[in-house]
Amino acid sequence: MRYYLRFMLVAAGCGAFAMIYYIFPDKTISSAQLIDILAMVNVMDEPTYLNHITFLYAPMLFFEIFFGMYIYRHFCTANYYFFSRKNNRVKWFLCECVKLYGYALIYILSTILGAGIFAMCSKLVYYDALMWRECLYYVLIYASHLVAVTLLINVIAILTNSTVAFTIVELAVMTQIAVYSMSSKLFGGETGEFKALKYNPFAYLVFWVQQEYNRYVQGIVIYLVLVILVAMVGCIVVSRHDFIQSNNETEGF
Amino acid sequence: MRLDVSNVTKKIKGKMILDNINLELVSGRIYGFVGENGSGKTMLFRAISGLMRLTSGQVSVDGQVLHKDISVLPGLGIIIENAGLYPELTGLDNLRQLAKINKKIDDEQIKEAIIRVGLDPDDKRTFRKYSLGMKQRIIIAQAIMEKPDILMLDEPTNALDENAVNIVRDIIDEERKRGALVLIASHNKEDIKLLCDEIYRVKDGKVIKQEGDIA
Repeated sequence: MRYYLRFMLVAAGCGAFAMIYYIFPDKTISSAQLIDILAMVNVMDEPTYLNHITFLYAPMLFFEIFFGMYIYRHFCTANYYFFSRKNNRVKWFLCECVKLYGYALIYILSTILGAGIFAMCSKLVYYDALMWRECLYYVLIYASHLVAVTLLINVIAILTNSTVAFTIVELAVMTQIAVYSMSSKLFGGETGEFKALKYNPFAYLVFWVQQEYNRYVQGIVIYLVLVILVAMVGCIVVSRHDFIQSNNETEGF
Repeated sequence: MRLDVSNVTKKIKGKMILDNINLELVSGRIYGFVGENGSGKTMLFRAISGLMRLTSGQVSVDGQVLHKDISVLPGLGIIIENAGLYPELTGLDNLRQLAKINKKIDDEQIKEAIIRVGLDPDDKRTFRKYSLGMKQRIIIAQAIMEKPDILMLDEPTNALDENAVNIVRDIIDEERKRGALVLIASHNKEDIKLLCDEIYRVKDGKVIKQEGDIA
């Protein structure tokens, strides 16, 4: 556990960096706006905002890399000796999913904490009660997104290996980002643009879209449903897995 | 304890790996499995232990059916050839991680198992820095540390020096006297001759009881 909690420092660092980039040294914001910045409120669906997406999505990518083998690592190296002792693999897998969710929540909160501490020390932030609502939406949507993506990487890795899993999942995420950034150009008119955003999971991470169309609750629901679906597939994969290779990555010592 | 293997078959991508295996095994005996490379010995252990699903047939322990009543054999200690432990952990920490799963034993008992195989429980080296012989010994320690009712050993004396081979043979004999049901797969004819009460030959996925001396 201590090994994974170190990565929370990375999250806090990313939060602080975002504040340096967007508000330091002389822009004063409310605490609600601080969270909106982290949630890409200034990122519209045009290609010119891609650098902002890259900067603000990077902490999520770090989490996916850190935890992309959180469950899968048990299927490498000591897999025979671990699973020969586990009578109920599905129960174990679901417990690991819950722990992963816990880590995702702590990670997102660490990002907010890092940003908040930096902004407070720089005296660039003031309290706004709206912060709690923004915080709730940000934490729930982003944590669920992290768990859905990371769990999917783990599950695909069990079926193939980590390289294939990371490639497939990150390619899917990058495609969503690319489509998002082109939405206003590709899909003419307000209706077309709305539909493109409505069916793009990435768009639910962008609080500009959420504020524009008031779809916070839909965002939470969509990502929770994705988490449940991936967990269900994971249960099937884990319960039916045959331990024929001693190590999916290297097949041996 | 009685372990029944009934009409067990395993096919992988249409190829017959285990072909209608039938065995009746009881506690307090050592069963040897001999055969050429690729004959199916390790696959047989994977199938019996529950680490691999069966195409047909069943494995049961005292009436409890694998993959129906239980997911893995209860009280199982296993070694699979060429399977490792967590490379970034020391030998002791590796065994602690595994012991945490069922919480049957304490730190003292883990250290006892490590000493029993001739290693130092306070060795700070990680598993990746162990020699092949040390790796094999610590893997044997993880198999015996929880005093298993069923012990499956796939090539247990691989990479071991003469002294370590004698230690392992003594351990296997002690486990049998303790009442464990022991299965050994080995190319080492001396191990099989010295230790086993019954010998089976595995060939092309079939298991045949060996009568007389092994060739």
